[in-house]
Amino acid sequence: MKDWSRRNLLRASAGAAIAVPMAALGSSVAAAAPSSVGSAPHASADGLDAQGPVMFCVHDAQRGQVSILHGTTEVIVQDRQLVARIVTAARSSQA
Amino acid sequence: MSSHREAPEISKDPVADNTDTYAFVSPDRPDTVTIISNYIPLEDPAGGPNFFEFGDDVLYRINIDNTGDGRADIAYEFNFSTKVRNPDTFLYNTGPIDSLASPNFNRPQTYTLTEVRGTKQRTLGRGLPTPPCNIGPRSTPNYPALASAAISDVGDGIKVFAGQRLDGFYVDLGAVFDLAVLRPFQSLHLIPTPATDGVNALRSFNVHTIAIQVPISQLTRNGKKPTDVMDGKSVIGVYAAAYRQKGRYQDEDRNNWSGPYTQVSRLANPLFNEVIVPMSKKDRWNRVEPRRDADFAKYVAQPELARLLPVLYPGVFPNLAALKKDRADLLAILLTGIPGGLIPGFQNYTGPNQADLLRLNVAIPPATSPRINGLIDGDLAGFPNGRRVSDNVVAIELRAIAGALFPLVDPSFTPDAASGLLYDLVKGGKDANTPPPSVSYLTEFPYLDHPVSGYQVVPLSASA
Repeated sequence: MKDWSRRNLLRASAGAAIAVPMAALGSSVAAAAPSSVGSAPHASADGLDAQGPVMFCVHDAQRGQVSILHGTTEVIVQDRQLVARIVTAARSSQA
Repeated sequence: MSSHREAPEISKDPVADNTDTYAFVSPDRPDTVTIISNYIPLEDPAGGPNFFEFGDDVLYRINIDNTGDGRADIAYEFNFSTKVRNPDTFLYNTGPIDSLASPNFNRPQTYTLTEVRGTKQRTLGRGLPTPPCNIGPRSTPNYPALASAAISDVGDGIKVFAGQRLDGFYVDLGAVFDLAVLRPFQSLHLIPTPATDGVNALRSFNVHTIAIQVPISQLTRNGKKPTDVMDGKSVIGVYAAAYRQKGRYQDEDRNNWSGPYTQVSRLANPLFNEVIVPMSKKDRWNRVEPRRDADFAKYVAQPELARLLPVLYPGVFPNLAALKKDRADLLAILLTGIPGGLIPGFQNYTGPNQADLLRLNVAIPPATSPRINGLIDGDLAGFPNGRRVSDNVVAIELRAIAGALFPLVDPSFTPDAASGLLYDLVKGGKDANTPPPSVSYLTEFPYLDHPVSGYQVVPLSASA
């Protein structure tokens, strides 16, 4: 059985997402709303790791969207190839 | 309860579970407002060895709306960090804790306080201390001194405290949740029981309190301390909330969090989510901001409890049973504030935007002789004009839901006599203007009393 632990999956897929050229992402990345008092709180913690792990969530593989969480931000990436690779990896872990 | 364990999901996350929120003009510093938000419901004082503490992975925030749009214009953020001084012991304290710097205090928790105005952040304090939990006379021999040392002046007239307190909310949960047994009508319930005195179900339980005292001029829209009660700029809206980051990944060593903060709990008016919002919507209510509360207005307009009372107490509430109109009284009290012209010399209206906020008219000075039943007992400085720590909010809201205040918006309605008599524990009024004896308060900041210790408390004491 392949070593598709969640941690490895996260590492592999996070790397893939970061590798996407920013220019290519320009029209397909939707950052979370900027922090202000009227929206989600800021990261003002010295008790929290400002960097931390990169996490992602694919809510709907058909749409080719992956939500990537890093630090205190979230970006929505539209990348069908990336999502397809994630789904393939996820299915492999169930084999 | 006010908001203790009030929704299915947050009841499983106590460090983020907001139990009560208070906002009032400080009685001993009337140029300031004190705002308090409590977390961690039903702390058993003997609950060691891992005694209660704030969540290092929770962002706690007190939000102030001074423009009437249901959005925060000013926020105070509290972010906690815990250290372990001696990792080789299981003990919370390795000897008496006689000061906050004591090496015997093995899990000191500090916090950063940040003020946010618009997009501007200002750090008001770092490494601010919190006291330990009150453990007992050997471990925390002078608890008031420890607590006092944890009150911080952070400049600009702002005072802050975070730490364990005695829960100041009082309610007879055993009766209320046993199919709404309410006094003085126990014998008239569909399943009658003999009349008995109430029991404060929260007696001898502690909570974790975040309290901040801020000059009024720093909270109002125009930066001034208002004097005209009828001026819209005299009213601020307050809610407290807790936030967690969106993503959690748990490995063998720790929980890892990532992503933006998202609201998991909020609270303004007591009992809103608990009694007004139906079970299927409670978790969602905790996760959305007050500015979206128009989605919940229908539950205020036709509250379930108002329909239940005539059923559970046959013949006691005939006029309430016949009342089919939307409850404009409750919509005002809970979602917009009470406009001028309904109660002489009073308003706490913030405009037509519906949002569950504690609305405080800061031009109304503290009462010289406070009435625990607040506004319904003629005390304009009490709930629902903000909320003071000793206000008898359960009885006030029961009476409001039963229709006692509906004539304010519809003079043709005659409330049932019973609506003015309802209470769960303390009836209030001229003969009973004191909270139950199991509750006590301080006369100065942070107003909630010192927590009861695990060694000193008598478990399951039946006294109210």
